[in-house]
Amino acid sequence: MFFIPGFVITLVTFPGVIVHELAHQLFCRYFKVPVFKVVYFQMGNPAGYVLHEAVKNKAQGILISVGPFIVNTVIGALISLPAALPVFTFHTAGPLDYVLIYLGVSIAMHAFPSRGDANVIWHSIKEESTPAWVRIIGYPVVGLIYLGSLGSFFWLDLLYGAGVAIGLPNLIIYLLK
Amino acid sequence: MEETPSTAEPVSTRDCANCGQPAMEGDHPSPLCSDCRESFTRLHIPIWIRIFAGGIAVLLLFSLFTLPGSISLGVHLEKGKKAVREKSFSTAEKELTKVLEKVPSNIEARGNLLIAAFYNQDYDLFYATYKKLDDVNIEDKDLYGEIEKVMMKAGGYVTNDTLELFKKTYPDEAHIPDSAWARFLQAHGDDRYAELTYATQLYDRKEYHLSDSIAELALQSDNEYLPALMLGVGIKRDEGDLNGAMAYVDRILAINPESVWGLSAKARTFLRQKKMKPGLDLALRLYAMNKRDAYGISTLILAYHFNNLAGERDALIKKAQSAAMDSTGKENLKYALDVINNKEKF
Repeated sequence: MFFIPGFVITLVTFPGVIVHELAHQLFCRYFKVPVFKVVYFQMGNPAGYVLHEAVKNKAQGILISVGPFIVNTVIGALISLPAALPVFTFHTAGPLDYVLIYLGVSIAMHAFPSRGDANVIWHSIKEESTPAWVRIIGYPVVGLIYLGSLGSFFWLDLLYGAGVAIGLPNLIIYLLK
Repeated sequence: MEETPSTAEPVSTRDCANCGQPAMEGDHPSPLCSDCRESFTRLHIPIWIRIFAGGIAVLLLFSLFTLPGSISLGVHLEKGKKAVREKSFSTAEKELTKVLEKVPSNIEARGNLLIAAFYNQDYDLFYATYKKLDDVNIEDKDLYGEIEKVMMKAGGYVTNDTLELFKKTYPDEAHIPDSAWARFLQAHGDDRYAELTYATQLYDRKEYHLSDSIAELALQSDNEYLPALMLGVGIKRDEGDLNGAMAYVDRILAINPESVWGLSAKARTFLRQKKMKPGLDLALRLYAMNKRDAYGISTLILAYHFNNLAGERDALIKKAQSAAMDSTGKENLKYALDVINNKEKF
């Protein structure tokens, strides 16, 4: 496994960071949660963040935190789907196909919620007022986010991005054939 | 990586934390007046992010527009490859042709089409595909291996210089003495085309037993040698051994279960065995698979005839006569018409 500084990866895949923060913001808007500040992209750690009011509804809080997982995965997959076959199967790709694959992988690899997102869920669900069903869902989600975060050291995020952008078209074709 | 802190702890004051106006009543963590709350709740997206999102939206729309075509092409390719693996060569030819109409440079589709065309005995397509694959580097080792296997087999489907030279030493090719053939075949035991040529001559002379033996010789070096199997069907049929003919047909269908010739021969054998309904059913299935094959069409005409379906028979004859046909097709149709008019024994 070779080492590439995180800021280089973040810089190269900046579209994914922007979509990630936009997803948080859109989920806040959907649940009418006030947003005080949004940093869509910056050269630093974190590369982007959304500062919003603490969410009283725990389920909504979890959805705001994991929103990018849904949005980035869906957009990443849809953008790269039509380009994956020309690039990897038919070898007839044009420049636009490569742009679509790049965008798809960049966006999908930033689908994983960050540790900051996990912390928000963690602090929210450990309160006594949290309903049991939210805890049942919330704790595994936090665990998975931490595992994903740990896995990113081993390129799990990139593997996920590539899986969504490249593996998914082949899976669809396999299921349809 | 990006973080999403959720801060803005509730403060004790009842004034709006943003504008200082009296905060609205309500159970919110942050003391905000209704105007400020509404303002913070609204989407405030900078223009450059809007442009970025617009660009992504355009690409997304483009992707959604092109997605069905791309997926469909991938499905045709996978179906074609699967059909080749499952020996459904007629299906494979149709699926792979669709891929190559859109992506003529695809080696995988072209290579698999070569295999399908060979087993379908579509030699024009086989040769055209072979020409297009000439000098192309095939990286897929399995596909390359399969193509090599087919090319080795194809060697037995065409004549060669040695055989041509041998034939030229005799004034009449049809009357080459058996002793000369025997010497030639002894010296060139691996020449399937020569064995087939001699077996065909014996068949024409109605020396069925010897013809069958020579055809079997060719099948010993390639047990999938289709011309010899087809000759075997004719030999057994003409000997009146319909079970023997069916055994040869089944060998053809084991190699290519969708073989138009094989299925036609099976349907005709059923008809000769007086199994009229199975013969008609098979002829109809064959016609549904391939509506342009003259042998299949004439088989269905015969099946209609022997099942006393004169209306369907005549409609199909009319349709076949108005369609463009090559000389073989015309010959096939003429044979069916001669059988119907009792000019030819079925």
